[in-house]
Amino acid sequence: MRVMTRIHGSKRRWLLALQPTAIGLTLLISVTPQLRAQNPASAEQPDARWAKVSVVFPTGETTFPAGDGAEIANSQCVICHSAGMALRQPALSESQWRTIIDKMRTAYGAPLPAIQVDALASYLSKTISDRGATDTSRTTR
Amino acid sequence: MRRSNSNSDLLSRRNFVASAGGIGLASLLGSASWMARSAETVDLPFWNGQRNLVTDFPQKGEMLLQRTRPALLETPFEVFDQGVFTPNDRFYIRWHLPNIPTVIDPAEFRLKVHGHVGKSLALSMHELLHDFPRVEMAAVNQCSGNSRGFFNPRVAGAQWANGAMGNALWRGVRLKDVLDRAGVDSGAVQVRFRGLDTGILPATPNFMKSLELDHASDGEVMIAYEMNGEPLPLLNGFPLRLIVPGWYATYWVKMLADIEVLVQPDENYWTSKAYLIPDTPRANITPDQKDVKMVPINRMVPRSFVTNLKDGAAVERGKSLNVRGIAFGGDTGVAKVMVSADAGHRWQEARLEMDHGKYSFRRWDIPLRFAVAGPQKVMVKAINTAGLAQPGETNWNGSGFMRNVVESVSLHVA
Repeated sequence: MRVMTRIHGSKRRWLLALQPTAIGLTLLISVTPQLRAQNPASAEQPDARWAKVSVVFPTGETTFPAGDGAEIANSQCVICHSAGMALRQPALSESQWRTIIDKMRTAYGAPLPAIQVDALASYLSKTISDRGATDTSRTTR
Repeated sequence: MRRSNSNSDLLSRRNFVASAGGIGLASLLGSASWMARSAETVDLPFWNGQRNLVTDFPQKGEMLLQRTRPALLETPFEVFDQGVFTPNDRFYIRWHLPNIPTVIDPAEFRLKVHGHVGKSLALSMHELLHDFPRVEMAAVNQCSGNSRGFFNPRVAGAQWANGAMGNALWRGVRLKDVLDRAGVDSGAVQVRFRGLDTGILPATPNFMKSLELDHASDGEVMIAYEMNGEPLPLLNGFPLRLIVPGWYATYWVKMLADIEVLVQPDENYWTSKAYLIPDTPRANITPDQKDVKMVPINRMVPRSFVTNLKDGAAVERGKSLNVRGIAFGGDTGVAKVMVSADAGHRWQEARLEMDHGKYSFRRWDIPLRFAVAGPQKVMVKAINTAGLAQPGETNWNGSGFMRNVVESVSLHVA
C-alpha cells in the first residue's frame, strides 16, 4: 500500500500552475512519482467529485413459467428476488429445493406457509430440469 | 437442451439471436423491450448457462445478467484480456438484499463508528477525504463463489463462470486510522461492518460482516472512496467500500455506513451462519461427507487464466504463438506462473509483467509452439510467494466456494 502525498492549499495551487507545462510535469513526476495517478480535478476540488448520485435499476418483470405451483413461486420467491435467480440454477432434486426453500423461510423470513414447501419444491425441480426440457436460463430477468 | 461439458471460456460462444425471429418475438411480447436491447447472449459452458448480455444497469457497460433484482452481473471474460485493471463499468456486481438505495448524496452521508470505542464518530465524506492520510492499493476482489457453475456435482447459488472477480486500484483511508480516531477500548475483539442495503421482509437479517480486531487494525484493510481513479459506481458500493485485501469479497462491504466495535464475537447470520467453508484443506470434501466442521471463509488462494485463447480455437502447427493471461496469488503475491503446451506433461515459466502489488492481478505472457497436429491443451498454474500452487484436481463443497484448480484451454493444432 502506498501513502499518497497530501497536497493542500498553496502547495496544491503551485503544482497545478506548473502542471500544464512540460517542465511542470517533469518536476511533478520526478519529485513525487505517486502523484501521477492523482486526478488534477480531485486535487483541486475533491468533494465535488463525490456528487449526489441518482440511478434507476431495471426491473425484474419476468414471472415463472406456467405449471403446478407456479403461483406459489410468483407470489413468494419474487418478494425478494427476480425469477431469473431460480431459473438459472442447475437441475436440482426436490429434496435440494426443499433445503433451499427452508433456508428462505428460516434464515430470510419468507412468509411461505410450511404446507406449500413440497408443492414449490416439486414445481422448481420439474421446471428447471435437464431431462429433455429446454433450459430456463435466458428468457428471464 | 443445451449442454456443454467442455471447460471452455465463453469467448467463442456468442450467439447472435437478434435475427428477424428474435426481434419479431420481442415486438410481439411488447413489454419485453429489454430483449431487443440485449438480444446478444453468451453460453456459459455448463447446463442452463445461457446468459443475456445487458447494458441497462446504471453506470455499467455490457455485463452478463445473472439476476436483475438484486443485481448479480458477471464480467464478460474477454474484459480480462484488456488490461491488468478491470474497468469500473465492467466490474462484476453481487448484492444480497433487494433494498439498495438508488439515491445517495455524499453531502448528507455519514460513516458511523460506534460500539466499544472511546468516542463515537459520524464521519462526513469531507472528513474522510481531508482528515486522514490517503492510501492506495491494487487488489483483487473475488466472489467466494466465483466459478461455481463449474462445480461437479452442481450446487445451488449464483451460477457464475470465471467472471465474478476483478482487479482495481482502490484509494481511500486506512480502517486503522479511523478506528484510532474513535479509540478502540480494551476488551474489543471484533469489528462489524454494515452497508445501506436492507431486506424487504422485516425478518431478513441486515447484511453485516465482521473481522477480528487484529485484522481490522492491520493497516492494510481500507475504506475506499475511489476505484480506478473515480468514485465507485453505485452498484459497486458508492460512496464507500471496505477493502479487505487477500480475502474473499463477502467481507468487502459495499455502501459502508456503519462500523461497530464488538466485545463479543459476532453472531449475526451473515458472519456466523452464511459463507462457511469446510475446515479441510482447500475447503474440499466429498458430496456425501457428513459432520464436517465449518468455519467462515477467509483468505483467497492462487488462480490463473489464459485470456487471449478461446476454447476450441485452431492454432498453426510449428508457429510461435504468444499466449497471455492473468494470475493472482490469493492472500499474497505471485511468485511464478507455469504454462504447459501439452496438457500438463511439461511446464515452462511465463514472463511476469509489471508488478502492481501483491494483492493485484499480474499479467503474464509466454511464446508457445505446438509441434504435433491434433487436439491439445494449454494449462496454466500460478504459484504464490508463500509457495502455494494451484492444484491439478478440483475441490468440491456444498456452497461452491474457493475453486482454484489449474485451468486449461482446449485447442486444435493443424
